Amino acid sequence: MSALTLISDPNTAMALLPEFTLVVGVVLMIVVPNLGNGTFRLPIPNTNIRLPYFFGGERFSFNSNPRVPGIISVTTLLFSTSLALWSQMSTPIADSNVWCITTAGEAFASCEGMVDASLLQIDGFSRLLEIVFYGALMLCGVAMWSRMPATPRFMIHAQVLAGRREDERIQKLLDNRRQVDFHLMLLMVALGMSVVALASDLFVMFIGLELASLSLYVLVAFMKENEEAPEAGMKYFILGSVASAVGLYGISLLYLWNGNLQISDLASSWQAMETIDPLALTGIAFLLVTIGFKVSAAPFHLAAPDAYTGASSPVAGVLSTASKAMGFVVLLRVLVTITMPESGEAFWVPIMGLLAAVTMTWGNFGALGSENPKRMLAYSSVAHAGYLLAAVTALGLNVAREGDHVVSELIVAAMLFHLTVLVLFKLGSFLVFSMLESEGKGSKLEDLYGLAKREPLLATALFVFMLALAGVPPLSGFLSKLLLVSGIVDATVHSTMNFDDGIIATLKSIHWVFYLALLVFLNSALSLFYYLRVGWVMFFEEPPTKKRLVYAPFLRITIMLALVGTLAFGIGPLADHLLTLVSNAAETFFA
Amino acid sequence: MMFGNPLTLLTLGPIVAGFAFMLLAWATPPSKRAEVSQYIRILIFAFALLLFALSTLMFLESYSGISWTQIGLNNYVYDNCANADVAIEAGGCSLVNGFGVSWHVGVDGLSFPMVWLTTLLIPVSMLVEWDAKKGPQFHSLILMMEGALIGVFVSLDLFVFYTFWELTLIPMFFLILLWGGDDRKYAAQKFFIYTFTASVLMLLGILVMYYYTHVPVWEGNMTGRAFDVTLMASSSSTLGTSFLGGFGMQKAVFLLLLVGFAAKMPSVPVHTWLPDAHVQAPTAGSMLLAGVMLKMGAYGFIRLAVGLLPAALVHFQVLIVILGMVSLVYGAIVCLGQTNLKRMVAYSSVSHMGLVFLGIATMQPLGIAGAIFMMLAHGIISPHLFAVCGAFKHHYHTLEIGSMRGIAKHSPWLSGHMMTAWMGSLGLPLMAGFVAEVAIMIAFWMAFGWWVILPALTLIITAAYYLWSMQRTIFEGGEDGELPESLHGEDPVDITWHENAGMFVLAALAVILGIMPFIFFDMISAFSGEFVTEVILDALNGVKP
Amino acid sequence: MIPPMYLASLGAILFCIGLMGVFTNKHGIIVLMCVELMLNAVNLNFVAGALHYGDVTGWVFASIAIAIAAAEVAVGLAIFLAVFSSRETINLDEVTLLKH
Repeated sequence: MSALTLISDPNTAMALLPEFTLVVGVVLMIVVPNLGNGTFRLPIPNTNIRLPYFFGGERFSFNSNPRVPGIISVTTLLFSTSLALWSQMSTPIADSNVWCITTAGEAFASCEGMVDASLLQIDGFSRLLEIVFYGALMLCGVAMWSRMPATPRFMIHAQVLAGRREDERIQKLLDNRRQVDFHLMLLMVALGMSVVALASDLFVMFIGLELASLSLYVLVAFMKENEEAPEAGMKYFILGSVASAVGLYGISLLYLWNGNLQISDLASSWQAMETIDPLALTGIAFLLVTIGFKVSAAPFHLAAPDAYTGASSPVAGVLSTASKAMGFVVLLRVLVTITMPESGEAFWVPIMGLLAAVTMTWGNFGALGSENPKRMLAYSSVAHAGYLLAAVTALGLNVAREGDHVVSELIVAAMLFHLTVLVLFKLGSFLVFSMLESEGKGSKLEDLYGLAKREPLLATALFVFMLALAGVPPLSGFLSKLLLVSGIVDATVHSTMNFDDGIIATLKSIHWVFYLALLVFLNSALSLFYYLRVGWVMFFEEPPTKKRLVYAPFLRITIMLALVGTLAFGIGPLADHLLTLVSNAAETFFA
Repeated sequence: MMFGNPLTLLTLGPIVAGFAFMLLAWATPPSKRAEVSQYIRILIFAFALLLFALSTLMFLESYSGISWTQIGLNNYVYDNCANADVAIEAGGCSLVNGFGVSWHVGVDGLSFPMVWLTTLLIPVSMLVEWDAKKGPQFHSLILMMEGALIGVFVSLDLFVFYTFWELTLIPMFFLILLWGGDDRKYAAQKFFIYTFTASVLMLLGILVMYYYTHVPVWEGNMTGRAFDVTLMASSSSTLGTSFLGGFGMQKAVFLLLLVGFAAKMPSVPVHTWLPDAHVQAPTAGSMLLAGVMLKMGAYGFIRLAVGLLPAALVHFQVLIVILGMVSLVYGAIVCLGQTNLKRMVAYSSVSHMGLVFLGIATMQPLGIAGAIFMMLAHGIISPHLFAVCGAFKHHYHTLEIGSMRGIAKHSPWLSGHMMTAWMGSLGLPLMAGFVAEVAIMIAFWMAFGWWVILPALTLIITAAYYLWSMQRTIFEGGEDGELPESLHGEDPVDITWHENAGMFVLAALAVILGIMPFIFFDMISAFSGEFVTEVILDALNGVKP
Repeated sequence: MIPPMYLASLGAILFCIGLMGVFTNKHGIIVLMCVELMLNAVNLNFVAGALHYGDVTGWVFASIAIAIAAAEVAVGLAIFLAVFSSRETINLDEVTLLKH
């Protein structure tokens, strides 16, 4: 009955419109490419009456086009993004936009005093994350439009043996099938991620996490004709499944401790504890392993470079943006919503601080030492996770309000801003690599040599993306880092700080978390070297050929849009709009 | 409000136009390239002249109605965001409200001479290197450079200031890299790494100042802070020693800013990028590098480090004197040992910028005015020097001092320009450099007494290396002077009309400003007088009881 | 009835065995089986919790966890097959193309 309510309750339907759109997209993806002139013989003996059945048989020309699945998935994601954006923008005051979906499938405009337990909670925070997820997946979908290899290798072999390698139609159909597989998984990732963003129950959140992860494992291993992809998928899968098993065990411990897994209920139980229950602590610690893997924090990041290198570039881009954002949502829910005490430091501040310092430094040194640009970006993604973890550490200090200026909201807003603009310039650079990959290149720094002479616009775009990753003003990457550092500084340093008592005494008196801000700054300066190296080889080395890259108009337009976004969200009115959006989202996160 | 401002036009106009011309040159079909590029170059040149006319009109009191001597400290003309605390909150000039970034421009007696100088040098350097290969691209890069340079001088918001500061690197980097000499990759890399690293430290200083610039939280400002220089200046003057939380922090920030600005000026010990960059850069690049880019460091030092943290200057006065003195003496002595003409001129720039440091460190109105006037005078004379070097390279294919003899006989115009430039740079009376040097020396004597002998003696070394190099290059050898081997037996030629025209403008200005320094000196000394009485005297009284 | 505490303890033991197995084994299939063992420990915990609190959601969690485990095996085996078809091995020590 609850499934029926889910559809019949108009409030629920409205609140979950982006997700329903995704479901419709999934159905279309299954149905449309299968439409054909197949007929169905009526089971009457001695007759041959065939009714048109429209499934199977000879495919029609419109749906055997290999582009069809991509068009379906990108349109669906575009619709979902616009719906989420519209619902976010149409109600400027974020508080009035809260919906709680209960186990009975009913939607309530407030999460207080409901009879049934709440499963999903829709507010400004989750809407913004939906936009981030769908946006990233949409970019990935666009990139995959034109570049899926037609057939896996063993199939080609079989075809050559059978002597029908030349058959265009079958080629096309096979291509279409693979596209369906890919884009179906992409929509599944979108569904899983939005469940994570919306969940108000830890187990529901975990189901979403698993849905997204399982689909991502497949996507990483998808390019079977390339020997590296299945290997990357295998490594990613094994580490990921172990991590999620550990995390699920942690969740079960929390269940043993509390009796239910409602996030709000867990939070109030945690507040009620006088001393920390070891059962609950172990549960949280195990859960952190899963999260650490998802956000690729050291020491759980070891699979990330391999996975990024082996996966096709657009998928690697999703891993480094949407998947990481998903990890941080879980992290914020678990660490901030559940375990943050009323006042004083949270218990995990030292651990998170250590993780942040190790992660960002390890990531940067790894990136300095790698010759493969995708691997370099993977390590840079690890470093960026470190910056965000530093912000989480500062959040754990739990400083009180300072006038009108709420430090915790600033930090969460900074993290959201970072995760949002990261989609533009990190995924954007992966999209450029994706174009290189279409000609079988992109895994060595030499492949980038002289790109500026072959593709001046793409090279400029990649260069700007690199500068944004490094955090050079006035690009959006700088703004996001400035916000992060501002948050850490606000949480640790008070306006009375000076060096009057001597430098050593002052340095000792500052809270140690402040040095994470300094470390972020130093690491950013260090990271410039490997980012600029990409620019250097593109502009000043001789290209191996003068040939232009594949002609993929939509992908090119997408890259250019990402470039414009990288600039526009750095300075100017658009940046202000985004800042308003993220600060509203941060406000609702704490509401 | 934001785009109606002439300073905005001066800043963004050249950048946009440069991009447009670059695209135009790039989109021209190869068959018509030679023909079209002529027109593009003329258009670019006309655009640069237009901007020069604009800045000159701004300067003419009779036209613009601005009395440049009566601006008053912490007031700016063409200010699009006067009373910044109110105006930014009203959203009049904000760029990113959430961070307190605003588009705030304005000029005063310190920055206007630099803006005018920039608009002058751009067309002149284009004229001098009129037939560079790939001319349209070359000239549009220079045009973009103009916008970025003016942006540094006019912006009163540190975020925008820093952005333009970094932005100047990019065209210069490409100028060196694509049009430079044989060793250009190394030079471009060194140039980039030095100035970029230094500016990252400067950024750290700027961020610290940003974190201490609390503003009333207005709607949409998330961090509760602003990058606005005028807000910082007013909080600096009201808070005094407790600005930035205390004097210790002020010292730390002062040192961070000093590293950034000293590397740009450049001062010993962070000067080593300059000779390499100059030797490899194309002529126009060298002219702009020496003429305007070095002034960015000095300008930033006066505006930010001294203007916002005067107490720290009082504290570090000796350090600045030592830096200035070492640059002055070291630059001069190294010049004596150079055999490459351009390298010698580059080191002489180090030496002259040392004088600027000395002038600032005197903390006298006359000394600071002298320092600013030195920036202007050096900005006119050193491009002249580099134009002469470039002409040697262009027409005689060598820069070795020893390999040229008796050039005066073959190239009278070139030799005449060399004489004028060399004399101007060594501080000949009635030329611009002399005025600045005398002002700095007098102030130095007033501040430090007989120590003035040290810089005065150095000026003798300066005279020595200039006269010696000039003597060997154009006069010695006289009638039977042999031609340099690098000519490979070609007939020596004199400079072309456009080189001559460009250099002539510079020579004339050096003389005019030498005879009538008051054209700019009035405005500059009005600024420095108020600067010292209102900013530095307070600091002197506050720190030294 | 078996006390919930026993179930939870058995779960903890199973989980430790599974975790040990993951770290000591190099064969893909065995690693997958160890992960299954860990997921079974999770199920025992959920069931123990459901018994202890008299809460029906524990049973729901357990059954959904079984479904998750099944999906994971399906995906895992598919990926292993893809590796095996090109590499003829799924030993984790021998699948080392990406180490550079």
